[in-house]
Amino acid sequence: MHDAEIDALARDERLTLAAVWQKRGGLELQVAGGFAAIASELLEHGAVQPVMALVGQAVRDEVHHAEISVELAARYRGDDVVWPAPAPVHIPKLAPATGALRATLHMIAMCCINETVACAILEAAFAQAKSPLVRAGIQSILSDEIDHARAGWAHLASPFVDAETKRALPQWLKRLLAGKLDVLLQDESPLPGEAFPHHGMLARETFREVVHAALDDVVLPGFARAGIDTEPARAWATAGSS
Amino acid sequence: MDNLTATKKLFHAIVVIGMAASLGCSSGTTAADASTDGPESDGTVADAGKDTSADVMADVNHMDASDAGDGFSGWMGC
Repeated sequence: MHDAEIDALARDERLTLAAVWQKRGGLELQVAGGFAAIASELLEHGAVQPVMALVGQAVRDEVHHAEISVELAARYRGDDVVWPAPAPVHIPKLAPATGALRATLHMIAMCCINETVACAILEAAFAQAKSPLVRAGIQSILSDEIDHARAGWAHLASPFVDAETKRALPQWLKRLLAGKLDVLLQDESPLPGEAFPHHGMLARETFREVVHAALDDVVLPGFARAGIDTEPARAWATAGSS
Repeated sequence: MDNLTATKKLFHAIVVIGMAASLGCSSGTTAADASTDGPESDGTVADAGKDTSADVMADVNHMDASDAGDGFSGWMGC
Protein backbone atom coordinates (compact mmCIF):
# COMPACT_ATOMS: atom_id res chain seq x y z
CA MET A 1 0.00 0.00 0.00
CA HIS A 2 1.26 3.44 -0.89
CA ASP A 3 2.65 5.51 1.98
CA ALA A 4 4.68 8.55 0.95
CA GLU A 5 6.08 9.01 4.46
CA ILE A 6 7.55 5.52 4.51
CA ASP A 7 8.70 5.60 0.91
CA ALA A 8 10.54 8.90 1.51
CA LEU A 9 12.83 7.29 4.11
CA ALA A 10 16.34 6.07 3.41
CA ARG A 11 16.94 2.32 3.61
CA ASP A 12 18.68 2.46 7.00
CA GLU A 13 15.91 4.63 8.42
CA ARG A 14 13.26 2.16 7.28
CA LEU A 15 15.21 -0.68 8.87
CA THR A 16 15.37 1.22 12.16
CA LEU A 17 11.61 1.63 12.24
CA ALA A 18 11.04 -1.91 11.02
CA ALA A 19 13.00 -3.18 14.01
CA VAL A 20 10.83 -1.16 16.37
CA TRP A 21 7.59 -2.57 14.93
CA GLN A 22 8.98 -6.09 14.75
CA LYS A 23 9.84 -5.95 18.45
CA ARG A 24 6.39 -4.58 19.20
CA GLY A 25 4.90 -7.61 17.45
CA GLY A 26 6.56 -9.91 19.96
CA LEU A 27 5.56 -7.71 22.87
CA GLU A 28 1.93 -7.72 21.77
CA LEU A 29 1.99 -11.51 21.96
CA GLN A 30 3.40 -11.21 25.48
CA VAL A 31 0.35 -9.12 26.36
CA ALA A 32 -1.90 -11.75 24.79
CA GLY A 33 -0.28 -14.30 27.10
CA GLY A 34 -0.85 -12.03 30.07
CA PHE A 35 -4.53 -11.62 29.24
CA ALA A 36 -4.88 -15.37 28.73
CA ALA A 37 -3.53 -15.96 32.24
CA ILE A 38 -5.82 -13.30 33.66
CA ALA A 39 -8.82 -14.77 31.86
CA SER A 40 -8.09 -18.09 33.52
CA GLU A 41 -7.83 -16.44 36.93
CA LEU A 42 -11.10 -14.60 36.46
CA LEU A 43 -12.84 -17.81 35.43
CA GLU A 44 -11.63 -19.36 38.68
CA HIS A 45 -12.18 -16.44 41.06
CA GLY A 46 -15.00 -14.54 39.43
CA ALA A 47 -15.77 -11.53 37.30
CA VAL A 48 -18.96 -9.95 36.04
CA GLN A 49 -19.95 -10.84 32.49
CA PRO A 50 -18.82 -7.58 30.81
CA VAL A 51 -15.35 -7.94 32.31
CA MET A 52 -15.09 -11.59 31.34
CA ALA A 53 -16.12 -10.73 27.79
CA LEU A 54 -13.61 -7.89 27.50
CA VAL A 55 -10.71 -9.91 28.89
CA GLY A 56 -11.53 -12.88 26.68
CA GLN A 57 -11.66 -10.62 23.63
CA ALA A 58 -8.41 -8.97 24.66
CA VAL A 59 -6.46 -12.18 24.02
CA ARG A 60 -7.58 -12.15 20.40
CA ASP A 61 -7.12 -8.38 20.12
CA GLU A 62 -3.50 -8.58 21.21
CA VAL A 63 -2.76 -11.26 18.62
CA HIS A 64 -4.28 -8.89 16.06
CA HIS A 65 -2.02 -6.11 17.34
CA ALA A 66 0.94 -8.39 16.76
CA GLU A 67 -0.30 -8.96 13.21
CA ILE A 68 -0.55 -5.21 12.65
CA SER A 69 2.92 -4.67 14.10
CA VAL A 70 4.75 -7.28 12.05
CA GLU A 71 2.92 -6.21 8.88
CA LEU A 72 4.09 -2.64 9.46
CA ALA A 73 7.59 -3.95 10.09
CA ALA A 74 7.48 -5.80 6.78
CA ARG A 75 6.25 -2.67 5.00
CA TYR A 76 9.19 -0.68 6.40
CA ARG A 77 11.64 -3.42 5.47
CA GLY A 78 10.08 -3.96 2.08
CA ASP A 79 9.95 -7.72 2.43
CA ASP A 80 7.86 -10.55 3.86
CA VAL A 81 6.08 -10.63 7.20
CA VAL A 82 8.07 -12.37 9.94
CA TRP A 83 5.94 -13.82 12.73
CA PRO A 84 7.56 -13.44 16.20
CA ALA A 85 9.40 -16.41 17.61
CA PRO A 86 7.99 -18.20 20.67
CA ALA A 87 9.02 -16.58 23.94
CA PRO A 88 8.38 -17.12 27.65
CA VAL A 89 5.47 -15.14 29.09
CA HIS A 90 6.14 -13.46 32.42
CA ILE A 91 3.18 -13.46 34.78
CA PRO A 92 3.99 -11.45 37.92
CA LYS A 93 3.77 -13.66 41.00
CA LEU A 94 2.99 -10.73 43.29
CA ALA A 95 3.83 -12.70 46.41
CA PRO A 96 2.40 -12.97 48.97
CA ALA A 97 -0.92 -12.42 47.22
CA THR A 98 -2.94 -15.46 46.21
CA GLY A 99 -6.41 -16.29 44.94
CA ALA A 100 -8.88 -13.55 44.20
CA LEU A 101 -6.56 -10.81 45.47
CA ARG A 102 -3.87 -11.85 43.00
CA ALA A 103 -6.41 -11.91 40.18
CA THR A 104 -7.49 -8.38 41.08
CA LEU A 105 -3.87 -7.21 41.27
CA HIS A 106 -3.25 -8.67 37.83
CA MET A 107 -6.30 -6.80 36.49
CA ILE A 108 -5.02 -3.59 38.04
CA ALA A 109 -1.49 -4.06 36.69
CA MET A 110 -2.56 -5.04 33.19
CA CYS A 111 -5.69 -2.94 32.65
CA CYS A 112 -5.77 -0.02 35.09
CA ILE A 113 -2.06 0.71 34.70
CA ASN A 114 -0.56 -0.81 31.52
CA GLU A 115 -3.46 -0.48 29.13
CA THR A 116 -4.71 2.82 30.54
CA VAL A 117 -1.30 4.48 30.28
CA ALA A 118 -0.81 2.87 26.88
CA CYS A 119 -3.96 4.63 25.65
CA ALA A 120 -2.44 8.00 26.50
CA ILE A 121 0.84 7.03 24.83
CA LEU A 122 -0.93 5.81 21.71
CA GLU A 123 -3.01 8.99 21.54
CA ALA A 124 0.15 11.06 21.65
CA ALA A 125 1.79 8.86 19.02
CA PHE A 126 -1.27 9.10 16.80
CA ALA A 127 -1.37 12.89 17.14
CA GLN A 128 2.12 13.31 15.75
CA ALA A 129 2.11 10.52 13.16
CA LYS A 130 1.74 11.49 9.51
CA SER A 131 2.31 8.09 7.90
CA PRO A 132 -1.15 6.86 6.85
CA LEU A 133 -0.27 3.25 7.52
CA VAL A 134 1.13 4.00 10.96
CA ARG A 135 -1.90 6.13 11.81
CA ALA A 136 -4.22 3.31 10.76
CA GLY A 137 -2.26 0.80 12.81
CA ILE A 138 -2.13 2.95 15.92
CA GLN A 139 -5.82 3.83 15.65
CA SER A 140 -6.79 0.18 15.41
CA ILE A 141 -4.66 -0.75 18.40
CA LEU A 142 -5.85 2.23 20.45
CA SER A 143 -9.52 1.44 19.90
CA ASP A 144 -8.93 -2.00 21.43
CA GLU A 145 -6.72 -0.73 24.25
CA ILE A 146 -9.54 1.52 25.45
CA ASP A 147 -11.72 -1.56 25.97
CA HIS A 148 -8.86 -3.41 27.66
CA ALA A 149 -8.33 -0.50 30.05
CA ARG A 150 -12.06 -0.30 30.76
CA ALA A 151 -12.05 -3.95 31.83
CA GLY A 152 -9.83 -3.13 34.79
CA TRP A 153 -11.93 -0.25 35.99
CA ALA A 154 -15.10 -2.28 35.49
CA HIS A 155 -13.63 -5.07 37.63
CA LEU A 156 -12.71 -2.62 40.42
CA ALA A 157 -16.31 -1.36 40.42
CA SER A 158 -17.76 -4.86 40.47
CA PRO A 159 -18.91 -6.93 43.45
CA PHE A 160 -15.88 -9.16 43.01
CA VAL A 161 -13.61 -6.52 44.54
CA ASP A 162 -14.96 -6.15 48.04
CA ALA A 163 -14.28 -3.52 50.68
CA GLU A 164 -11.69 -5.63 52.47
CA THR A 165 -9.72 -6.09 49.27
CA LYS A 166 -9.90 -2.35 48.56
CA ARG A 167 -8.46 -1.62 51.99
CA ALA A 168 -5.49 -3.81 51.11
CA LEU A 169 -4.82 -2.16 47.76
CA PRO A 170 -3.11 1.19 48.54
CA GLN A 171 0.31 -0.31 49.26
CA TRP A 172 -0.08 -2.67 46.33
CA LEU A 173 -0.76 0.22 43.96
CA LYS A 174 2.59 1.75 44.75
CA ARG A 175 4.30 -1.58 44.14
CA LEU A 176 2.42 -2.23 40.88
CA LEU A 177 3.13 1.24 39.52
CA ALA A 178 6.80 0.98 40.39
CA GLY A 179 7.02 -2.52 38.95
CA LYS A 180 5.98 -1.29 35.53
CA LEU A 181 7.01 2.34 35.34
CA ASP A 182 10.14 2.91 37.44
CA VAL A 183 12.54 1.76 34.76
CA LEU A 184 10.63 3.45 31.94
CA LEU A 185 10.47 6.80 33.71
CA GLN A 186 14.00 6.83 35.07
CA ASP A 187 15.69 5.78 31.83
CA GLU A 188 17.29 8.80 30.15
CA SER A 189 18.31 7.10 26.93
CA PRO A 190 16.58 8.02 23.66
CA LEU A 191 13.60 5.87 22.77
CA PRO A 192 14.05 3.66 19.72
CA GLY A 193 13.02 5.55 16.59
CA GLU A 194 12.42 8.83 18.39
CA ALA A 195 14.04 10.72 15.53
CA PHE A 196 10.93 9.92 13.49
CA PRO A 197 7.95 11.71 15.07
CA HIS A 198 5.98 11.61 11.81
CA HIS A 199 6.07 7.84 12.12
CA GLY A 200 4.46 7.94 15.55
CA MET A 201 7.64 7.55 17.57
CA LEU A 202 7.66 9.51 20.83
CA ALA A 203 10.72 11.23 22.23
CA ARG A 204 11.72 10.28 25.78
CA GLU A 205 10.69 13.68 27.15
CA THR A 206 7.26 13.51 25.53
CA PHE A 207 6.84 9.91 26.69
CA ARG A 208 7.59 10.89 30.28
CA GLU A 209 5.22 13.86 30.10
CA VAL A 210 2.40 11.71 28.74
CA VAL A 211 2.89 8.99 31.37
CA HIS A 212 2.82 11.53 34.20
CA ALA A 213 -0.29 13.16 32.76
CA ALA A 214 -1.97 9.76 32.46
CA LEU A 215 -1.13 8.97 36.08
CA ASP A 216 -2.31 12.37 37.33
CA ASP A 217 -5.44 12.68 35.20
CA VAL A 218 -6.61 9.12 34.69
CA VAL A 219 -5.01 6.35 36.75
CA LEU A 220 -4.81 7.89 40.22
CA PRO A 221 -8.20 9.65 39.98
CA GLY A 222 -9.60 6.32 38.79
CA PHE A 223 -8.34 4.52 41.88
CA ALA A 224 -9.77 7.30 44.05
CA ARG A 225 -13.12 7.00 42.29
CA ALA A 226 -13.05 3.27 43.05
CA GLY A 227 -12.72 4.08 46.75
CA ILE A 228 -9.03 3.23 47.06
CA ASP A 229 -6.66 5.40 49.07
CA THR A 230 -4.12 6.76 46.57
CA GLU A 231 -1.76 8.51 49.00
CA PRO A 232 1.04 5.90 48.80
CA ALA A 233 0.74 5.82 45.00
CA ARG A 234 0.77 9.62 44.78
CA ALA A 235 3.85 9.73 46.97
CA TRP A 236 5.55 7.37 44.55
CA ALA A 237 4.35 9.39 41.54
CA THR A 238 5.68 12.68 42.88
CA ALA A 239 8.91 11.41 44.37
CA GLY A 240 10.10 8.09 43.08
CA SER A 241 9.12 8.52 39.46
CA SER A 242 10.14 12.13 38.88
CA MET B 1 -5.56 19.02 21.32
CA ASP B 2 -2.36 18.70 23.35
CA ASN B 3 -1.30 15.60 25.23
CA LEU B 4 -2.42 16.89 28.61
CA THR B 5 -5.91 17.75 27.40
CA ALA B 6 -6.14 14.32 25.81
CA THR B 7 -5.46 12.51 29.07
CA LYS B 8 -8.25 14.40 30.83
CA LYS B 9 -10.68 13.16 28.19
CA LEU B 10 -9.38 9.64 28.68
CA PHE B 11 -10.58 9.64 32.27
CA HIS B 12 -14.18 9.72 31.11
CA ALA B 13 -13.64 7.43 28.14
CA ILE B 14 -11.89 4.75 30.18
CA VAL B 15 -12.58 5.04 33.90
CA VAL B 16 -16.12 6.42 33.97
CA ILE B 17 -17.43 4.26 31.13
CA GLY B 18 -15.48 1.25 32.35
CA MET B 19 -16.90 1.45 35.85
CA ALA B 20 -20.38 1.97 34.46
CA ALA B 21 -20.05 -1.37 32.69
CA SER B 22 -20.22 -3.12 36.05
CA LEU B 23 -23.16 -1.20 37.44
CA GLY B 24 -26.13 -3.42 37.87
CA CYS B 25 -24.06 -6.54 37.45
CA SER B 26 -24.55 -9.20 40.05
CA SER B 27 -21.66 -11.30 41.20
CA GLY B 28 -23.86 -14.35 40.86
CA THR B 29 -23.27 -17.04 43.39
CA THR B 30 -19.51 -17.14 43.48
CA ALA B 31 -18.81 -14.20 45.77
CA ALA B 32 -21.64 -15.01 48.12
CA ASP B 33 -20.58 -18.62 48.32
CA ALA B 34 -17.02 -17.59 48.97
CA SER B 35 -17.92 -15.80 52.15
CA THR B 36 -19.11 -19.05 53.68
CA ASP B 37 -16.53 -21.37 52.28
CA GLY B 38 -14.21 -21.04 55.24
CA PRO B 39 -10.47 -21.61 55.26
CA GLU B 40 -10.69 -24.58 52.90
CA SER B 41 -12.07 -22.39 50.17
CA ASP B 42 -10.11 -23.01 47.01
CA GLY B 43 -9.51 -19.61 45.48
CA THR B 44 -12.39 -17.30 46.19
CA VAL B 45 -13.13 -13.79 47.36
CA ALA B 46 -12.77 -15.13 50.88
CA ASP B 47 -9.16 -15.98 50.10
CA ALA B 48 -8.53 -12.33 49.35
CA GLY B 49 -9.38 -11.58 52.95
CA LYS B 50 -6.69 -13.94 54.14
CA ASP B 51 -4.15 -12.00 52.10
CA THR B 52 -4.77 -8.74 53.88
CA SER B 53 -3.47 -9.52 57.34
CA ALA B 54 -0.95 -7.16 58.88
CA ASP B 55 1.86 -9.66 58.46
CA VAL B 56 1.18 -10.13 54.79
CA MET B 57 0.97 -6.40 54.15
CA ALA B 58 4.28 -5.94 55.89
CA ASP B 59 5.77 -8.34 53.39
CA VAL B 60 4.23 -6.37 50.57
CA ASN B 61 5.73 -3.13 51.80
CA HIS B 62 9.21 -4.57 52.14
CA MET B 63 9.42 -6.31 48.81
CA ASP B 64 11.45 -4.62 46.13
CA ALA B 65 9.12 -4.30 43.18
CA SER B 66 11.81 -4.30 40.54
CA ASP B 67 13.41 -7.45 41.91
CA ALA B 68 10.04 -9.15 42.14
CA GLY B 69 9.26 -8.58 38.47
CA ASP B 70 5.90 -7.09 39.29
CA GLY B 71 5.16 -5.71 35.85
CA PHE B 72 3.65 -7.53 32.90
CA SER B 73 5.70 -7.53 29.73
CA GLY B 74 4.33 -5.58 26.84
CA TRP B 75 4.53 -2.56 24.64
CA MET B 76 3.72 0.81 26.17
CA GLY B 77 4.72 2.87 23.20
CA CYS B 78 8.44 2.42 23.42
